Amino acid sequence: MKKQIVISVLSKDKPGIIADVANVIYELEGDLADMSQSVLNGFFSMIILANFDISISSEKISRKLNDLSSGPDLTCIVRETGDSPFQIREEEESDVYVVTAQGKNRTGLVAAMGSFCRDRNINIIGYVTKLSGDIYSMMLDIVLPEDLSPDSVHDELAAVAGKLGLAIVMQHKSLFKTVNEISLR
Amino acid sequence: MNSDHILSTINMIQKENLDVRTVTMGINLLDCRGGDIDETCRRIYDKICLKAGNFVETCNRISRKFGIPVVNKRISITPIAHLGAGFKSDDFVMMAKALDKAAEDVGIDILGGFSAQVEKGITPWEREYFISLPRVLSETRRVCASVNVGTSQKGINMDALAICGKTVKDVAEATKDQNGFGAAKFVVFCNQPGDNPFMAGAIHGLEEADTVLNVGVSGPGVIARALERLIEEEGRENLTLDLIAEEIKQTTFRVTRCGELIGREVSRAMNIEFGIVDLSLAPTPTIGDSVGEIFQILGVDDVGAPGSTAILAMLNDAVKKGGIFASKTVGGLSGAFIPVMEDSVLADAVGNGSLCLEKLESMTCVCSVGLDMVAIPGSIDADTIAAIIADEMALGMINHKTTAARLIPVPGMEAGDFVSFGGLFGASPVMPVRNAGKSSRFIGWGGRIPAPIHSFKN
Repeated sequence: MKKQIVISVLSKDKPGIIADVANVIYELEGDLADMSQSVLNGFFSMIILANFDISISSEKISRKLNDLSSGPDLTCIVRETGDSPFQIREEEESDVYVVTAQGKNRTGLVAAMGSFCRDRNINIIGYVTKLSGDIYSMMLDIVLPEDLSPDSVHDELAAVAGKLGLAIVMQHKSLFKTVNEISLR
Repeated sequence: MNSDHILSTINMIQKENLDVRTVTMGINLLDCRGGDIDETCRRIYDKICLKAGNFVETCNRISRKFGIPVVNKRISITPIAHLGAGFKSDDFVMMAKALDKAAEDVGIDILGGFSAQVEKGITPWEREYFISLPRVLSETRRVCASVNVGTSQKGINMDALAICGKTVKDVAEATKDQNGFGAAKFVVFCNQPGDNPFMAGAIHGLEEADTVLNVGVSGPGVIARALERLIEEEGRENLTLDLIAEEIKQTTFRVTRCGELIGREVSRAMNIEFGIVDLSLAPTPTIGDSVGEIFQILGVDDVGAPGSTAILAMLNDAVKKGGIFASKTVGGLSGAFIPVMEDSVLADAVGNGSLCLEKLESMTCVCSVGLDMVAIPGSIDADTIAAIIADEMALGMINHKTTAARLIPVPGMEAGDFVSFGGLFGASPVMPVRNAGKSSRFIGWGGRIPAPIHSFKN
């Protein structure tokens, strides 16, 4: 019998973090099902989904991870998801839109975009930002709820763009794959 | 998804005018022939409304989904002379008016295919068709006409070509209150493709399926901006022409992909076969959307200066190389257009004397399509116009490529006068024609220029 565990890792970036964490999972006979990792301005962050035998407690995994030689810079959070063991889900490409918002950098822009999505039950599945000079760019991968039409979101984004002083566009994600990748399906 | 890819794509759309220049629905009208002209006209109208009723709305919806403007929505039809077998010129005028009304009612601005294919011979009803053209092009707003007078396989029909010279004059005269604008809606072709989505020469060829969607990609502005960015980032001293050609290729790949995406989506939404993507760079009079500007960026101070033909050859070739791989099926004209009135930089070059008719003709050897949107003095005689067209057709016939002529003899204007049609049709000074009035004996022969030797491959 298996259970699914989610592990979040935050650390100052340096070589060896992935090896250390993955070896702990391996030693506990866990099956690392999926992971996402990025480095932002020298800080390493990683989220892992792994399946463990039901007898392995999350406290035990947490203890092992916190004993890692990586030192005090590394913080791990371990939680049972309560879901059945991990199964790969097909990404619903057909439903994903990319919202790109650009404007002069100032505080509160991410909060504003986040609030816009929250208030309409729009799920953000990816959020990347980039600062170039004093121009701040935000790129959000979003999934619209079934009762919300893309046209209405377009209109509401236009209103928000005026209020925030941003240039905001929403485009279906397949555009960016089509223009930038060789394969075309 | 790489954030740089997203931002560069957004930049291409917002700052570099990336768009899809046209989505053109080709409709076969051969099944619209009725027992008489009235029934035929009714069937024409009904079929266009049935097939294209939600065409514009669908294009607009898909355009919004991807945030890419679809600038023009258009229709091409089976060359009308096939449908009008046995009809008189008045009947052709009635069909044109039915087409004009259908185009208006489905919300499109231009309909192409009021055409005839007379590269080897002319039927009596095709002569009636020619007679109808001055009325058709002066009494309708949206209908465009084209005639194919030559092919690399069959040679050039000089009888038809002589009629074309006279027709250009008559159409311009019939629309003299608009400075001869009717002639801007009439193109003479050699090797006319049946899947070209660009006007005024679009037709829905007999070889095509009942209904097909063809797409014309974005204009030259995107290429011009990409080259400017490359030069700024890399520095002129670090660039060579092969690197510049590579940038054109890569930009064209992205541009073509946008066309391919929009075409596929519209065709899926309408359940209509997706035909081709036409890679042509079609300029508009808008500042920054000029093929001529690319010449200047690449190093000639004025279009028409020595080197212009070489630049155009490289541009045309790089566009094709970039576009071919980006689309499932490429077709139509697929090259760079140099329509003088529709390209402000080319028009300026005519104005300052750096671009003359002969240089323009030589440039058409290495690009698509030909002598396009060239305003000439209204006093030029029909035989000289026919002879200019004949030269252009010969280039196409011998070189196995499409060439075309869209000449506008502007009534009452002479070389150096300025003519403006407004909108997409643009403006330019009237171009001088040297050696006018010296070709009548040649045109007077009639008959055919035989098929060239390299057509005999069987």
